[in-house]
This record gives sequence, structure tokens and C-alpha cells, in this order.
Amino acid sequence: MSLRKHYVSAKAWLTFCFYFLIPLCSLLLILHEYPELPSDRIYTRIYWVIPTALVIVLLAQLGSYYKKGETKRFVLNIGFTIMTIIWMFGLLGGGLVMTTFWNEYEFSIHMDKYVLLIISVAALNVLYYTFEWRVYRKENSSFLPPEKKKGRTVVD
Amino acid sequence: MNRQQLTYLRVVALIMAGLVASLTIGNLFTIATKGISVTLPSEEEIQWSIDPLQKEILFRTSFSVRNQGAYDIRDIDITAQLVKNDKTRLFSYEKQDLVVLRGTNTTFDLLIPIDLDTISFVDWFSLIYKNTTLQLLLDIDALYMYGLVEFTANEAIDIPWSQPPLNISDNGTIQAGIQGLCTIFNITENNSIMSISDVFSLLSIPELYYSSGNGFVFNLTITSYSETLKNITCQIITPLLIVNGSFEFTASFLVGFEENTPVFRIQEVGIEYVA
Repeated sequence: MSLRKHYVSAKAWLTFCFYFLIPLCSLLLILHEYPELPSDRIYTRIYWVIPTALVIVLLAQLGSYYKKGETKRFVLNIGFTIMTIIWMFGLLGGGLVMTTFWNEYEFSIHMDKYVLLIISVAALNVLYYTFEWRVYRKENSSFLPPEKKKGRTVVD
Repeated sequence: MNRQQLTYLRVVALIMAGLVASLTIGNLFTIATKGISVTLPSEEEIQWSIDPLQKEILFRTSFSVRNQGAYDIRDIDITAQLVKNDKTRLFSYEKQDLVVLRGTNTTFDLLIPIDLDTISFVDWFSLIYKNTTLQLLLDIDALYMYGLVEFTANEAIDIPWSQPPLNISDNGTIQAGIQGLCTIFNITENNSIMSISDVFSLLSIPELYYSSGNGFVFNLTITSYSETLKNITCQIITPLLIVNGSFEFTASFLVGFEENTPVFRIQEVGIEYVA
């Protein structure tokens, strides 16, 4: 664990802004500016954003306690990515199809391709965290298990 | 993989994440706040007229799309079907690849001509003499945000339909005659028992002759069969445009009273193709 543990990391601050503060302000703004919209939908999203965003911020902060290459940091980063997918999925309404009414007529908004894009980006992030874990783990022998460390010493 | 390559991967992942986040906050909120909306026609805004010369029924309506979003709405496809109340399809209509640019309000006028030669004679006839409710089944698809988001709408709009011959002339006599004829057809079709009021309304039918000039003839002749019975004969000649010929519909009815009982008797009904 690094000495930075006493401070709130930059990643946690950014996460707080982008996943909590900005979406929450936007939702409250919509609620205030568009009273004709069904408020229960907006409240559902607000109740969704608050807990999930706080978990994401917590994971971002906990991840910063560990150095690159540490398994705990890798696991926390994967958890962070999964939580962002869940967060976004809830923000989209919790499904692939969003139903809305325009002048008494029902319209469906299909977002399957969009959700696929979100999953692709999440997969890219998972790939990055995996490579980061593997690359830094190799470079810092103190993260390796005892038997591997021993083998590495022989090679050196 | 070395650190340099890892940095590149990180940059790509961050750019993609930023892109998705901006799309979510910017565009889905646009949709949620009705920055994009579609106004479909109500039943009062769907108008129709009949042109006996062209043998055509023309439906006129419009719908508008308001796009205050960040991207164009593309590939708008409209499929419309007009069906009778028994779900028989009268016609279908398609319009494809319409576009609504961002920041614009666009109104699409729909002029839907129905060639009466393309629908069956039975449907044609039923449209001519019956008051009914037609349904316009609308199916709209559109793509937004580079095709990542798709809008769909499936709506059924009721269109009240009154028999077009009533609109042929403003003359009250002609309208009364046609109304009486429609009553006859309805009674015949429904096989219902005549009431005294039906008989009185049929006895009050005037004689009439209407010709549209292109061969369409509507002729109603009334003769006395006995002191209390009248013979009503109706002849409708409908020219065909595709082939050189016409359909002649002839029907004859006895209407009146016999021994104080209402009488409605079909004497003769026939459809004949005349080349």
C-alpha cells in the first residue's frame, strides 16, 4: 500500500465529478426545468445514480491505495469497470428499450447498439487493467509469489 | 507489452470512455427532455376526398419531427396501411430515407392516392355505400446518433368514413336518394328485419340520375308495383380504367306494406361485366 492512502486520489475526485456530481445536477436540472416530464422516472434515476456512483468513487479511492501491478488494485479496477457499466445501464433506464410518449403516441427508443458500444469500451478498459497488472507485476518482483520470486532471482 | 504500448492503450480507452459518457449525458438527455419529438396526425387531421373522374381516393395528412438534438435523424421509413374494421387491407404505402437535420422542425406531407381499380370490387362497393371506421396503421422507424439509437413507433389511427356518394353533390334530393340506397344495402347485407321507420324512409327515396362524365352512372328508378308496394331499381355502372369495359350492378327491391306488415323483398340482384 502506498503512502498516498491518506489523501483523496485524483481519480476519485474525477469519478466523483463525472459519475456523481454532473449527472445528479443534470437530473435535478431536468426535474426543475421540465415539469411536464414524468418525475418518477427522473427520481428513479436519481435514486440509482447516488448509491452506484458512491460505490464507484469508493472503488476508485481504494484502488489508489495500491501500486500498479498489485492484484488488489487490479481486482478493484475490474470492479470499478463493472460498476460503471451497471451505473450507465441504470441511467439508460435499465433496459435495451426506452419507452416514451410524444403527443399521446408511444415511441420506443432501441439502444441495443449503444449498449454494445458501452460494453466494448468496458472490455477495452478491462483489457488495459489486465495488461497493466501483468506488465507492472513482472517489473516489480516484490508483487510476485515467493516461488516465482526465487525463480526470477536464478534467471537474473 | 511494454509501458509505452500500455500508455497508448490507456489513451484509447480513456477517449472511448469519454466519448460514451458525452453521448450519454448529451444525447440521451436530449431525447429524455423531448429535444426530439414527433407529432403524428390526429384523426381530425386526416382528410380524404374522392375523385370519381380519376377513380381515386386521396388521403391527405402530415406529421412533423422536431430535432433539437446534436445529430441528424436519418433513414426515416414510414409504412402506412389502411384497413377496414374487419382488418381487410385496402392499401399499403411506403416512404423511405427521409431526413430531419439537427436543429430543425420538419413537416412531412403525406398524399396517399388509392386507385380504386387496385382494390377488390367488394371492398370498393363497401366503401361506397357504408359508413364505417377505417384504421390507418402507421409504422415509423428512424436512426439517430450514427445509427446507435433507433426510434420506432407503431400506431393505429381511427379514421371515420362516411360513404363518398353523399359528397358527390350538395343537392338534398340526390343525398336523400343515396342515403336511402345505402339503407337498402345495409338492410340487405345485415339481413335484418325491416322496421316501419325503414319502410317509410325507403318510400321517401326520390328518383335520381347521376353521371360523372367518364362513364360512372348512378341511376335510381322508382315505380309503383301495387297500391302499397313500390319497386326500387338501382343501377350503378363503374367504368374500368385498366381494361376497356365496365361493371354494371343492378338491384331491384319491393318496399312497402302488405296486410299492414312491412315488406322488403329483393327482386333481383346482379353484377355484370360489360366489355
